[in-house]
Parts: sequence; structure tokens; C-alpha cells
Amino acid sequence: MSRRRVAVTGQGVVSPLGNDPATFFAALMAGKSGIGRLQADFADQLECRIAAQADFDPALHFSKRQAANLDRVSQFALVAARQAVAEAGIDPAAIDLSRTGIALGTGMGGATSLDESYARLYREGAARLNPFIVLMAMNGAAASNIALEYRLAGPNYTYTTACSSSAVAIGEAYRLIRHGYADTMLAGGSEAVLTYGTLRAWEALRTLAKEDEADPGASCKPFSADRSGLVLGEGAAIIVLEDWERAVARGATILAELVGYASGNDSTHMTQPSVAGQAAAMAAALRDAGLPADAVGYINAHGTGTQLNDKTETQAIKEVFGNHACRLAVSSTKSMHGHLMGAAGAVEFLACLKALQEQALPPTRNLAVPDPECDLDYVANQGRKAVALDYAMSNSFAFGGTSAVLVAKRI
Amino acid sequence: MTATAELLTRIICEKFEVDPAKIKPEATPEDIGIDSLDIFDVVFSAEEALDIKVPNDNVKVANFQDLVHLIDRVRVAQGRT
Repeated sequence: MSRRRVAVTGQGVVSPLGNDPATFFAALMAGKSGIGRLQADFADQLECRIAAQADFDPALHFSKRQAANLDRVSQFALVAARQAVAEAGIDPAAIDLSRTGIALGTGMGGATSLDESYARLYREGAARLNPFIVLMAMNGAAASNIALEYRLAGPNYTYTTACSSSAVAIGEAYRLIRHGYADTMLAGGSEAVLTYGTLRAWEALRTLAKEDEADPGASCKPFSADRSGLVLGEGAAIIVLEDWERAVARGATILAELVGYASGNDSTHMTQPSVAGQAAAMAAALRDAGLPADAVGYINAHGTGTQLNDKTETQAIKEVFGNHACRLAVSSTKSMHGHLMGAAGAVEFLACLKALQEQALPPTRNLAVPDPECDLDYVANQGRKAVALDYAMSNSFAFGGTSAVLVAKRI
Repeated sequence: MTATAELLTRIICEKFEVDPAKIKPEATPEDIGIDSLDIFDVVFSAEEALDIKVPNDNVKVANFQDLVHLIDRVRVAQGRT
């Protein structure tokens, strides 16, 4: 079968920087930080109290009854999906739902429900748990709730590859359309891990950033020599992908074209990134897109703000892009929205889509101290407007090793 | 309405945002607008409120009256009346 082109026609987001794509991208361009002191009743029991929380009120979107059976991760996903479907202008009554599906990424699924119910069980000695807990906590719940809302009868897949989960979900959805298994896919990711148990587990892993005491919002410092780790965040981003011909035929507004995707595995270490693995994924995504390296003008880096990731990623970019590595712009928006784990790839791909649409490059915030091992153009501290950008790449790497790289083209 | 019926009505109406007028002895779960999982949820809340334990295989109710009788039987059997 000939390969079909894949259009992006809708976007939605719930994030620490706002709950719609326009607000989110304006905040990125303004260099706002969604990171701060965690607002939670257990915060004083944590060593690391910095997080990127979404300002999200379920009552604005769900009845009390609906909300009671939806974990926070599903609530985020549903709200992002509704935005994306509305922007795409899709009428579920007018499309073949058997050819329409959902692909989502999440690292820990319904962690909030699970954490709360285990606290009831172990700490309070509850005799019985909420009968919905399995359905709220399972990793596939968010995708299934969206499929139920729109009666989607095509593929319903949830990918879990840690921090690259939602980039994999978007890439695999693109392949389903490209190779003819579906015509329309909602794709993205959702994560809601700011629970007591999860935060304590992350503390133990020793990869979280130290609080910047002068400015907690500046605690995540990708590519800066004084970087000390990542900041956990929460939220969701979902886009609508469509077979290009169908999108054109129905008169949809096409926002961008998804032209390349590749995924591979580092297979060297559970947590340490590998230059070879990251470079292989970027090179394969370029081959999939049929592009020379110098076509790419902007990379939204994985850029976690850990010592190891940022220098490894810098080296991998140099390996793939050669001399062009010094000319293209690279930024880590995690400096502002934090690390959304399973939703990170989708949120950052959304930043790429907006960068293409608005011809603007979001900055890397908090880049104050140059690191000789991180010597690319990271769009330090100040976004750029009125740029000429044709292709943007979004990098996602992960504990466990799964890499995923997406390439989008300006319309 | 008995105390058990009042408690169950309150649980159902609060949890599922149901109009209390819909809660009649002969009302089926369908009439009320809840499903079998929701009934487990109601039983779970009643267990907590009354400090009882309803055996899992006993939750078979065709209407609201059945649910009230079920909870009353367990209250008597477990000395929580």
C-alpha cells in the first residue's frame, strides 16, 4: 500500500502553563514558569517540594458523578481530547468510527487513585476498596474513557515506555494512518503523578532538581552548568491526526503535517542515556521523513535538566546534524512546564506544532551558567519571534531506553 | 421510610446526583439510573456507615426494596441494628 500523508487538525492541552494550546504557547514564549512549591496537604513530608502542577478544576468539565469515577489522569485526557476534537471540527456522527481510534501514552496511569486507595487499605485498614478502583487505575483507562465518550470503534492503544510514552503513541498513531489501518486518530498522552507515594519514589531515585531557593520557579535548568535534575509535572496533550486526503476533502484546517517518526531502544542501561541510541533515533526519523539533516530548524529537546541527559543529547545532536548542529535552534521547554513523564512527548510535540504555526521559538528558561559540554544554540532565556521555520523535531528519551523522535512540517 | 432506607437514599442521591423522588421501593437500578457496579459502590458506602460487612455473593438486587432488605438482614445478622 502506498504511504498516506498525515495531517494534524486538532490540538488540546492541560498543563502547568495553562489549559488550552494558545495560553500554553503564549506562556512558553513569555518564559513563564509553571514550576513552584507543591500545593498539597502532604507537601511538608517531602524532601523535594518542587513540582509543576496544572491549575485544573474538574467541576468545570465533569458532573460530580462522572468525576468520582475518573482518575485525574483520565480527567486531563478527556479535557485535552475535547479541545482537540473541537478544533478539528470533527462531527463523530459524520465519520466512520470503525476507522477512528485513540493512542495514548502514560507512565503511571491512575496513580492518584491507586495511591489513595492503598493509603486507605494499608494506613487506615479499610475493609474494602472502591469497586471502581481497577477501572480508574489501569493504564488504559484514559484512552478507554475517550473512546467511550466519542464511541470510537477503531484502535484503542495505550503505550507505556516511561518518558517517551506519548511520543511513541503519536508516532504509532501516525503509522496506523500512514499504512492504512485507521483514517483518524486521537493521539497524545496524560500523566498525573503528583501523589505522595509517587513523589517519595522519585525522591529515592535522586534525579529530582534541588529547589532554587531564590526562585523556586527556576529550579529546572536544562543545559545550564548548574542544573541539578528534573522537576515532575502533570497534564495532558492530545492531537487529532488524519489521513491528509480526507482532511482536505472535508475542508479541515490543517495545522501541520507529521512527516517523520522513529523509535528505538538504547539497550545499554536502565537509566543512563546513550549517545548512539539517541542519535540513531534522530537519524531514523529524518530518514522516515525523507529529509536531509539541514532541513530541521528547531529541536524541542528531551532536555530534562539532569547532568547526564543534557550533555548526552547535545553530543547526539552533533553526531546527527554535523555542522548544522551549531545553526539550528534547540530548546528545552521542560524548564517551564516540568517533566510530564508519559505526557511529556505530546506536550513538547504540541510546542513544536505551535512553533511551526506561529513561526516562533520557545526559549530554554534558567540557562544562566554555560556548560562547555552543552554548547549549542539553546534559545537561552528569550524566545524568538518571526523566525523562518519549516521543520521541527521533538525528541523523547526514557528510563528503560525507548527513544521516540517526531518530525513535523509547517503548512 | 426506615432508617436503612433513608441512609441508602441519601447515599444514592449524593453519590450519583439522583433526584430523591426517583427512589421508590419498586424502582429498579435502571429506573434510578445506576448500574451493577454502582450498586457495589452504594453497598460499600453503607458498610462503612453502618460498620457491617456484606458478603460479596449476596449482592443481588432487583429493586430498591431488595437493597434495603439486604442491608437490614446483614445488620441483624451482624448485630448492628
